[in-house]
Amino acid sequence: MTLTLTLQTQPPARVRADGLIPERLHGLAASDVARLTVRCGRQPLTLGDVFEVSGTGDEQLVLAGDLRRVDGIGGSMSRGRVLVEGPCGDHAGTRMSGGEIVVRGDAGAWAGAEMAGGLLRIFGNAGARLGGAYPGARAGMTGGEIVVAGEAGEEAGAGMRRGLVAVGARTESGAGLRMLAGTVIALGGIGPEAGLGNKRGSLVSAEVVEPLPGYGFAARFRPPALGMQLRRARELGLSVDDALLEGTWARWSGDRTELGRGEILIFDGRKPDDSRR
Amino acid sequence: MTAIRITGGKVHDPANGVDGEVRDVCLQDGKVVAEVGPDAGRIDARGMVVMPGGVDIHAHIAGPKVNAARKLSPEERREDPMDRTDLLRSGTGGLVPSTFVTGYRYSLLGYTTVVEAAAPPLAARHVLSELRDTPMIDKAFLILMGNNQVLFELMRQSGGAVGAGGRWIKDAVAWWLEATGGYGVKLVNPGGVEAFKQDNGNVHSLDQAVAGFGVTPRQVLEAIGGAVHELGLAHPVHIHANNLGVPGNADTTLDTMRTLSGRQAHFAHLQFHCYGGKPGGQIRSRAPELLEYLSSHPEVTADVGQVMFGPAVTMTADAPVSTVLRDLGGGKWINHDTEVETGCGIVPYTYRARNYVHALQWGIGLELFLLGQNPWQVMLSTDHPNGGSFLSYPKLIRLLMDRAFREDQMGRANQRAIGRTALPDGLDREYTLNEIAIITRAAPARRLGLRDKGHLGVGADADVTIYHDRADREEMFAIPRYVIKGGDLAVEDGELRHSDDGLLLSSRAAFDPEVSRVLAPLFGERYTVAFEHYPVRDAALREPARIVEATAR
Repeated sequence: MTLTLTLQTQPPARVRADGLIPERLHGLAASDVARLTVRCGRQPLTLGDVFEVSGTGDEQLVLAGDLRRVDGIGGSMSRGRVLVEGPCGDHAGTRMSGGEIVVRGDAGAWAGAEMAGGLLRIFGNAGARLGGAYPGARAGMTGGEIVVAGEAGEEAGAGMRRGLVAVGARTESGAGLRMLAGTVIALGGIGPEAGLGNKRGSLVSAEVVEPLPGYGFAARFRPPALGMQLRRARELGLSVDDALLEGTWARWSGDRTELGRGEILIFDGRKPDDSRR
Repeated sequence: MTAIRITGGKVHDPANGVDGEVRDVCLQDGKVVAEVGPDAGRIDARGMVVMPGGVDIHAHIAGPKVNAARKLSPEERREDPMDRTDLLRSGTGGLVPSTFVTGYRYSLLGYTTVVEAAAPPLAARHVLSELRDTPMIDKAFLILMGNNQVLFELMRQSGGAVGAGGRWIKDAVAWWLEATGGYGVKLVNPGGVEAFKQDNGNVHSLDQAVAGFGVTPRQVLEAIGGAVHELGLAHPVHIHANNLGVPGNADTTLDTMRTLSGRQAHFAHLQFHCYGGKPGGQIRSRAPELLEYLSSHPEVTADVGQVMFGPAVTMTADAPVSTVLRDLGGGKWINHDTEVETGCGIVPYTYRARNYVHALQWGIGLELFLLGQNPWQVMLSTDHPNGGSFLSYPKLIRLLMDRAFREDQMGRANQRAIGRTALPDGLDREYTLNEIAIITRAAPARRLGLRDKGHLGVGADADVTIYHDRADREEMFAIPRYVIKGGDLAVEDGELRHSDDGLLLSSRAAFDPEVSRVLAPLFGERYTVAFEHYPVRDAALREPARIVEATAR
């Protein structure tokens, strides 16, 4: 039986919910869970005071309500499933290493920050620093997949080392900042100043954008690996146009202010048949 | 402050010739006393080891560079938060803990006095502010004077000599201590940092003049070292010699020692200064030579600056060294100037057991400890956090006390490097508890001229650490059973029981007030701060303090 926490009243301050993950709540009765405390601002908060708790802890945890003040949902989880019925606060899925988080609404900033594995699906928009690195850290996301149906905020995939970030709409400015490797796909196009300081990462823009001066045009081609990633994004629920799978892409390599082995792939529109060889 | 009788413990008080005798220690009103009344509180220390509180002669715990290091690595501190409690303030740990946590963790380790070893005098307000927020420990700071343009100018005018025009140097040093509340004088790569600030240069020998001043490192050593000696400050000049980390720098270090010959001097983190080898080549150990010099020159002391395998943060006023480290790692770093006084560099750094250089540095540090004949001369430090955090002291103590553990650790390190040290040649010395008490308490306190610290004789400060006598010395020294600070029970079994501000220790020497007339115009030409605003006068920063008077020679 699923454990369900339904938010009844808005907490007085932001709540840190990092510990609320299936692996920790496994086997706990609703009454036990209601007695647990989390941090709310500077004070402890008893879950039962703001949530209605039902069911028993097992592999699936459901959080329902307007959870915009609840941060760190699914943080550090390694298995199981967290389903968020509504919008959630910052740091959702931060440092998760396995399992799945589904947010049926918008997620705040730092969603999937420094995550190492697992799947984070956001049905609405995501805030800034999606899959990003916290201040001071060299690497952001080091593995796993993040899928956002809507838009992503500034600096998506900042410091990313491995993994996939797929965004259905556009990303705000600065996507792939200081990226080490990994892939950020923006079906609605990547915003300005993408890929600054990118070393080996791939930024994929389905809309035409102008790369930073640190990037140089390299080639027009059909990247085989990209097809696999786009099909994976489609599998995870994004609507990926067949044209993207069949058409050619312009490869811009950079950022030459850094190692310069990264790339920005920009959809070229034409099918291979149309292209001048 | 109540009276306490510590009964039945094995007391190690080397300054008073007490080596593991079972005897009572009585404390009253913050001091060790001969006897207390029958209603005094009792601490049953049977089967335990009683020592004076630890004294760290060289660490970096407060001031602008420490704070910059905190800001440089938020990712590290985020992993180690400390919540507020009814008794304690909140903070963060890691290699460079926040002020409060620094105090708490030193106390939890059984240390009661710590010296911040390198503070730019211009930043004295900042240093004092942080030290006032570093609880539980008594603390002092040394002011950087080895690359000060105003002092260089005075030296240039006097041809580098103390006496004649150089008379003002002595007065200037005393004036600076008065102006800042500092405890002692530190020289860091004298001349080299100024050369770096001019054109990314450095000085490579003691006779290489600094452009614009014509002053050589040797003249700086003689002028400042001589001034400190003649002023008779409680702590002699504290030296981070030129050419730190450079192959062959043992020559420079020996030259520095000889230059100061006959004058009292303390050499910081000697491990980094006793290398053989050719410039640009690989380092070798010349620790035995340095130790030989020490054994015939009792006026010279040193702390080791042991490197411990694992993460560290190098932070130093020796900015040219930091640029070298930056190039090795390629990661983030900070370089910073303090106007006309000094420079600074901060580079997070990891010492790896498999790395030849790191393993050799580790081995050389242990050579200094184990081949040294006189523990009063060679004291324990990791140059926190440069060679490793102060939290690694218990492990270092185990390396010194437990040969089997040491050999196990040697086996994990780069064998080529270990083979080039004396460690594998049947070096079976194991430190006794008394020797540990010397290198962690008695000797540093004596060298700092702190008569009330580092011992348990009548009249000493009631700073006492009581350990379980465990076979695992690392465990033993990591979690003292009790720590008593100023007569109050501060720590019990790894828990802080009491919060205490700790004392500020400052030093004072008489000077001719006329020196202000000499300094003021030089300040006007060079500093952004007006001369009259330079001295720290804020009562809340300066007081209360325990002033240790100099005894002029």
